[in-house]
Amino acid sequence: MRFRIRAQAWEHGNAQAWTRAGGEAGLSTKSRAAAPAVAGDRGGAGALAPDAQCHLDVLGIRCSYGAWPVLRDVTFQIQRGDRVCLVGPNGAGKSTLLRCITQVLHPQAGTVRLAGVPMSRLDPRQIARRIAVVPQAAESDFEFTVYEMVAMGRNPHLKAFAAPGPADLATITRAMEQAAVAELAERPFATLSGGEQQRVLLARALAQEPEILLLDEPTAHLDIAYQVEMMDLLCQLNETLGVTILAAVHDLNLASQYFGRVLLLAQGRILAAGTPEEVMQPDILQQAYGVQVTILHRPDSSALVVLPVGRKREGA
Amino acid sequence: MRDYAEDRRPPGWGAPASLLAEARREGAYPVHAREAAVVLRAVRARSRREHAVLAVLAAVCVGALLAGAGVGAVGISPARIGQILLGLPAAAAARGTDAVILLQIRLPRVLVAGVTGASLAVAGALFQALFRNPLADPYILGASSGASLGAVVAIALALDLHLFGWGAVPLLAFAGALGTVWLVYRLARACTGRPSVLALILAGVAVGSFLSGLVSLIIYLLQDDRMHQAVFWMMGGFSGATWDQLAMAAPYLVGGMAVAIWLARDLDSLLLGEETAQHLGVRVEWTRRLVLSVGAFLTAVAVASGGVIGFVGLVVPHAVRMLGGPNHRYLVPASALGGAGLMILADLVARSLLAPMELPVGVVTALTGAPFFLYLLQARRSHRWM
Repeated sequence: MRFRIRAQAWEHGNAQAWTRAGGEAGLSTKSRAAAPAVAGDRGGAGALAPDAQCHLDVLGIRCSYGAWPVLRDVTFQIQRGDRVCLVGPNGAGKSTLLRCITQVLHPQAGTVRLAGVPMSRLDPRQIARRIAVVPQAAESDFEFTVYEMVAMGRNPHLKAFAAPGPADLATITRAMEQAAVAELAERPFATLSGGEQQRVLLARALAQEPEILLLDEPTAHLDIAYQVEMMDLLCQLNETLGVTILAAVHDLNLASQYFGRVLLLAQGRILAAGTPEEVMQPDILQQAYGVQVTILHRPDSSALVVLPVGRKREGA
Repeated sequence: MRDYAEDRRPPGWGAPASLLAEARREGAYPVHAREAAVVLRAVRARSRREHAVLAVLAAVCVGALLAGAGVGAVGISPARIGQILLGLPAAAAARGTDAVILLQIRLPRVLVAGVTGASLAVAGALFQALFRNPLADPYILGASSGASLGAVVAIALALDLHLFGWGAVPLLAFAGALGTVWLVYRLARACTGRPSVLALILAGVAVGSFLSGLVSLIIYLLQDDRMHQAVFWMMGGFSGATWDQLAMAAPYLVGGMAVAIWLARDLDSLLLGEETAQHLGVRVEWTRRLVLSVGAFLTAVAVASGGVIGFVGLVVPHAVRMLGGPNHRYLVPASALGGAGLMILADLVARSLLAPMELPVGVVTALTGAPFFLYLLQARRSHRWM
């Protein structure tokens, strides 16, 4: 059982079951408004050049828990179709930043714009149709099956009182298939292993059919095989469908291998941003993490390998 | 530090608002037959189970109705009940003694009991979703203490109020229950800004025990006959139920259930935590406030109709969830049916066990509910819930 990410897996698959079950109904799914009025909202931005393709615009976010500042001043932009990862030491505020982006936390200062529109002006339902979040873990005292967990991803698209239709069922099944959890459909969510749960949460996010996928440590509970599969799936979604991806990642090697852009968050600020080669430099990483690292270039690809050497020492 | 905004954007991405949907339309993402079969089986298994449980509960409910209406000092057979009900406009059918007993005494009593049980069970289901805890009950925010205080005050002062079908005691009990929940909510919000689940529960415990103290104090100071009356009220019962009482209570149940089913999917999401719920498109704070008010109204109307009756609101949603799963589209109607059936049967037991003496319904539900609850707790452990 593996993520289905290979092209032939979804191009030559057997679609007959679903075309019979509800393929026609599937066509009638209303497409979401394609945010055409993007640029207008930012027209008078002046110094900050308005950029119609800017998908997620985080501007001067400041956020603190009580007296403890977590994010001091975070500013960055993500273009449509970007694949960006957020790295940084523990406690740097990666999860907090993701929460601010999705408006779960309301930052003390700063704004987040989704395709030019301030997120605070959108209601959660509108946001959930366009941004899906894969949390690190989910716990619940209630016995939802895997199918029900994934089906909840359709909630923002469904009208009140309406049951999920055949088209929704097809979307749910496809999402489960992509995340390799279709076989688990009948199992209670709580009985799954950490890695399986994480894949179910991914499937739920995919069922939302988002433009932007936010992931918080998507590989935390996965073995190396599923780590690779997860990353390949994310790349596939990003490259074939243009889903914008922002993932908080711990593993710097994974980050450099799979992401075109890296944001390094440390001490509540974006310490560095750019390609993996630009960000993953010994002095920058040392400043962020406080450990000395060696950067190696993998002979078989352009990816980097970050090796921690040890604490910063005099003359080392 | 480099400015991320300067990075060139990857070329070739058009307007992809609904790319996944488009891809699906073009057939780029067919679903595989084997996985589809597994998923379909999961969907069908769950919905078949839910429908089966609903059907059984409905049958139990009808059976309880017939038993509740038929059993008593004068036995009335189901066939006779049908005759009387169907011949309702015809004078001939309504002339017998049994018809008078059925229409004037038994039926209103059974229906009031049913509506009360259903209200408590639905309120319990709502509070369990709200607090994300399968052990929450309708009285978790102190509604029972508030209602008791209202009722005891009405009895102590021998107030003579009437509003439609309700006298002073139910009116003040209703107001007490609602007022307490409102107070608890305001207190929790005053303490923590955005009232968290924990703050609500703590405020509920504090306010509840304060009001209980007041209730005990008042009862202690009461004269004997009034003390009896107060204690009897607090143990719950449906003797002397009237059609007017039913007319007061039923609209709340219908309205509350409509809202609950309308919010069913949001309630499902809320069970996964507030953050996840928001990620799934739920307006968390708004929904919570709405669910809290609906639950408070249902609890208040139940307490006004039948006194403080425990365990129905806790056990019924819990048991129904164990039988058919946690989906609220199923859970809300199933809880209503189960609560109604259980309360009618409990009332039947209460008035026929030691007939002609009547036991308080609250005693019956507590005596049967508590052991069952302990059983659930123990089953819960084997489900790795705690």
